[in-house]
Amino acid sequence: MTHGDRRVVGVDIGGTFTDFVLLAEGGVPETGKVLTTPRDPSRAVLAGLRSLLAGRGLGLGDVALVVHGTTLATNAIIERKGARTALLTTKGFRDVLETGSEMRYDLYDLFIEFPLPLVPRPLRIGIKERTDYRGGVRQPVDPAEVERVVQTLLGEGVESLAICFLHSYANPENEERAGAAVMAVAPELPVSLSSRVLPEIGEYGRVSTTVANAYVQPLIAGYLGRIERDLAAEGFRGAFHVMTSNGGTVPAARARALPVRLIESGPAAGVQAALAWSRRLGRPDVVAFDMGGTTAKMCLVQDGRAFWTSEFEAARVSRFKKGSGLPIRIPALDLLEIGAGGGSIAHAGAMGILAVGPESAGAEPGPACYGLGGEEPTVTDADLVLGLLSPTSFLGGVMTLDRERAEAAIAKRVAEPLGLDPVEVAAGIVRVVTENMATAMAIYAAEKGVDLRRFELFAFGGAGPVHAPALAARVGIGEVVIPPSAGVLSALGCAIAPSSFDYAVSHKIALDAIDLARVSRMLEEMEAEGVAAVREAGLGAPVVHRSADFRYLGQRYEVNVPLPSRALGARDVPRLGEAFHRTYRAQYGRDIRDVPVEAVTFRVKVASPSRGLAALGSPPPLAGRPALKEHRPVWLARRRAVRSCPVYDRYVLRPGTRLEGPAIVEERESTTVVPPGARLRVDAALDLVITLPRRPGP
Amino acid sequence: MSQRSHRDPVTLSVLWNRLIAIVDEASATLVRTAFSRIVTDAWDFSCALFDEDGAMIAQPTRGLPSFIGCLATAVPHLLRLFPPATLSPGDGLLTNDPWINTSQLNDMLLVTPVFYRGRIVGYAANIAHSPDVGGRLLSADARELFEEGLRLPPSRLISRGRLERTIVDIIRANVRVPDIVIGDLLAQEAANTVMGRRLVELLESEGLRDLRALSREILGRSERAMRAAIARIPDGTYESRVETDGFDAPLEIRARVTVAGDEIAVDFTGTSPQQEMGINCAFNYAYAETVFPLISISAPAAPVNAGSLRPLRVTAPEGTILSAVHPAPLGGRLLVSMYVQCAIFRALAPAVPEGVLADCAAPAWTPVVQGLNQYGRRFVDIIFLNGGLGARPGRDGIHTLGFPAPLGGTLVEVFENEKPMFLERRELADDTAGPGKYRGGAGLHFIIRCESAGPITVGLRADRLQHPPQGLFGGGQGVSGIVRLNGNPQHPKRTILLRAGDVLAFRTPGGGGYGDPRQRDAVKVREDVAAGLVSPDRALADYGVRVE
Repeated sequence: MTHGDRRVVGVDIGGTFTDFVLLAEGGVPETGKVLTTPRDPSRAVLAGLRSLLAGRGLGLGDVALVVHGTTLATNAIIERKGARTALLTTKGFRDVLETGSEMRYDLYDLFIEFPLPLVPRPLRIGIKERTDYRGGVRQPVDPAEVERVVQTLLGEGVESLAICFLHSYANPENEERAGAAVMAVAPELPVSLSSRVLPEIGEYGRVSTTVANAYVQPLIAGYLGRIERDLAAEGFRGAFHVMTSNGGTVPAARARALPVRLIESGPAAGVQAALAWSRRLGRPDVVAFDMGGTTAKMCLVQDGRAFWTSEFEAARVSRFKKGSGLPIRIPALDLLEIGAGGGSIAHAGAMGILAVGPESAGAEPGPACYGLGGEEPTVTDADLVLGLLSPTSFLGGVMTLDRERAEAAIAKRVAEPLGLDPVEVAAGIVRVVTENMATAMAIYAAEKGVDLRRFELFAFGGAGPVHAPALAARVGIGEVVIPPSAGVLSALGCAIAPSSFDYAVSHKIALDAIDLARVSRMLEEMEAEGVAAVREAGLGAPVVHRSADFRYLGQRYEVNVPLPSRALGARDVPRLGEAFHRTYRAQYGRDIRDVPVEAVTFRVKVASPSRGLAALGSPPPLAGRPALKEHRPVWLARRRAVRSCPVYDRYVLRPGTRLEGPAIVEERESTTVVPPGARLRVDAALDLVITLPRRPGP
Repeated sequence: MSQRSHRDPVTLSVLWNRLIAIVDEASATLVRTAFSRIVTDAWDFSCALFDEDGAMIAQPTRGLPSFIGCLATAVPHLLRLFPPATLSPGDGLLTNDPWINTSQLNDMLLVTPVFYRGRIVGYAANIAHSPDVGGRLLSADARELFEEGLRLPPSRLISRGRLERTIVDIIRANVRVPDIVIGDLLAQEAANTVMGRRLVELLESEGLRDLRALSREILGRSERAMRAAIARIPDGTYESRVETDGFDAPLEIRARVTVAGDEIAVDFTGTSPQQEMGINCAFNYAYAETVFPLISISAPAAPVNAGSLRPLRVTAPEGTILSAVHPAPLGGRLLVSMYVQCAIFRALAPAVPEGVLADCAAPAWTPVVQGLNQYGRRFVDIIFLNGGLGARPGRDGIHTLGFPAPLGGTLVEVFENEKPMFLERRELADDTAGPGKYRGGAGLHFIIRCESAGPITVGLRADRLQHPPQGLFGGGQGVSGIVRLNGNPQHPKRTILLRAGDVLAFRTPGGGGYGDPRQRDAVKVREDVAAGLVSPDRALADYGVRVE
């Protein structure tokens, strides 16, 4: 493969900016940034691509692959801007979507609400049909009934249809017959079958996911179609991929069929970049930490792999409360998101306690120091008062921050009510937001049985590098890595993400009664489909990972155990049992060997090989200006005092540079804080690597 | 860290959140390792963390208010029987004694001391509802406690990390599903282990020797927050009288709520005497059911713990249905205790009209089913059936929601996979929600057909077939429930047998309305009609809105 023929462009649409990264093998990643066009995001995509390529004397015809990350699906659900969707479901069971788990997510709040179902009750239609738990059809679907119902729904302006029948994971026959009946009368109507979207047991999760798929489908299909047309019109002949929630990319055609997998794909791209760094640095255990204006997101990468989950919630009514959202069961990176960002608001709690977040001042009105009308003190205001941020070099000096406003806001809203000094309170705000993140991170790590002390923190996002060293110190992480171009990291993640496909099938069976031939066949089928899809994407030879979810007979939750990548033989059965006991014991402290083991779900993941960044260069450091910009007074938490600290220009620091904390390193999109006692070095790829002082033993 | 630093608001908020997070992590562990659907799907359990004096310092974000309230009294009770000097690291204390714990033999309390540097710094504890304790099967129609199964006096289930084989064998020999019962106890142990480990990590990382100063500070702040919240409620004595179906004849709960400054006292004098059937409640559970609505109404601005409970006093005369004495049968205690919140909300409605809700469908219906499943294995489980939430000032009630206990409902596919029964219907019941300016939540149809060759025993535990949830401030009542076997009305508190082909149908009640229905926005009435939740006839009769 030669230098020019595998150009890949990653495009990430954010709230404010649409970011671009152009990668050519062996070359330096080139970046671009244009303002997002919220009304029609594809305009910014095209404009940005054009200008990025034109600047290098290239056109779209020179690009082999465009990979796109979009929050369109997520936002459509949050803002309720999806299609008018109807649901056909088993007669007698039309309220599964509405009754949900029946559990309150807050113990004492009498006034809680739940998100409205994506399909209102009048559009949820019970169909006479029934399959039992073994997959036996008790009552076949009557196509005439389905046709009649669909005619009525079309008359009511329905634009998308979900079909979810009981036990369709065990036998999809009735759903497929109903789908065919719809095709006969309404060939244009998009239909989502639950047996295709999520062939897993548990009707609430399956119907909720299928309905979400139907709800975003017309919007996503239209949007992706528009970009494809526009790209083609400009001479693009390559592949067009979309980032999904599991951190892999899929061709646009597949994204149109399963758009639900685009939900929560936004943060996945950044994690892909973190994965690439972890490989390049040879550090298999990292925490990707992205702290922006509103939230902080963290994702654990262990042994070079990110943790993932098959359930999360979209559109929570009560933002950070589990149980207040719509469950979406798709393979997704298992991220932790908490309400801690630069814009998080600090306030004096009723009991004389300093609290920060989860409310955020957002971009408008923003922190008090933006001078855009914000009066609530935020984390960014505290950073400014403490000298961690410079009033004049924020966003490369494009925006001036007002320190007096920041201090006044802190004084008025928090310091005076608590009877404390504003600078002390600013230090407190930073400490509380750090502790909030650390606490959440510790639970998140603990849930996964992970010891954070072996990990490195990979920090990006505007506020990430400011707070990462303190966070690392708090959770016992010894090293922090801050990559260059942290501001366009998600676009970079798109450009280097593998193409990947996840398949799962429910098949509940005692381990010692397992039908090896049948299970091997099921795995083969899933694998064949995935392998074909990855080949089509043209990103290299497929890599296959098979696994199964096991539990002790009678339990409700499972533990995932890897399977060999071949037909299963009799000797695998005791081995798998042993692997399960071992994993279970590691996670929960005891195994329960006298209870039989049961397999529940079989999974296959097929992906193109991970593309490392080893071959990529980095932009050379600038020459001709001094690395040391100034000395300024900075509050040092460890010393509980203000000291004069050197401030460096990141763009001038050369590989091999070593600095001792306390020090500040500034770049356009962010600021890195090196605490006292910590050492910073610049590695060959211009990463800032901060080593924290070893903590005294207990 | 010096004692002073606990008053530093930053440190305090950090440590406080960590303690709550520790309890939440334990809850997640319990769910993921438990065997019974009662724990894994309905979340019929609660964890909490205690200081070295046995005061509850942290409770979970999600749990059962009634279990949490019981933990607050049960743990100190247990620790009086097992003083610190008698405990070793890795011990696990077990009891299901109804008068120490939750007024029902099926609930298992497990308490684990947390040692740090050789001494006890706190206790991890949880209560989980076990599917079986033997006896005649959990039901409302036992005559004496002795029929209701095995009573385990406080004992050491785990000694220095080792399971006491004798106790395990006694339990196994008495219950219908020994693997599930013991599996759940191990899950309870795993939850306590997690809390202990995290608590020690917290002390280590903060350089604390113990929790004393921190606990004092946290409990003090929660107490002050609760007192400040109570002080906002107008002083006075407020009374209510709530009637329940009873077993064969109605029972009454009389509540006298006295708000004086920053304290509340509740007295249940006048409440019906203890019954011969199992619809009695021991006092500690009645206490927990009473403090829950008081906390909800007060809405204190600090997390709830033992400190929040200090300004609350609850009394009930012995020998009543809210303070039943040994050997009263208790298997249907929910059918009495879950009315308590209703009595408190009704009593305080005139004092805080904006802070209460209309009657909910509670008590939750919890029929217990047992038999052989389609795989030939014995099962015992509870079908959790919720009804409509009462309407709230400014907001409609929510359809079919766990209240006061946030118990999860039944997944049809999981149910049919594990039990020899076929569900014919599970959906919202129209015309059950109480009308009002804000209407109640709707109840639920739940219809089962038995497909088992052998009989299935069902301990019915339902109420509000004669006493529908009442409305508030002019809101109408919700519609009462129905229990039918093959179309025939059924005594809702008897144990019955299902045979192949039998159809058991439940319809849970709807919640009461809040405010005059004639003031309801006509658009909302039409929406409810379009949704099929309100019939055109009821729209006209209740709301005066004509819908074509």
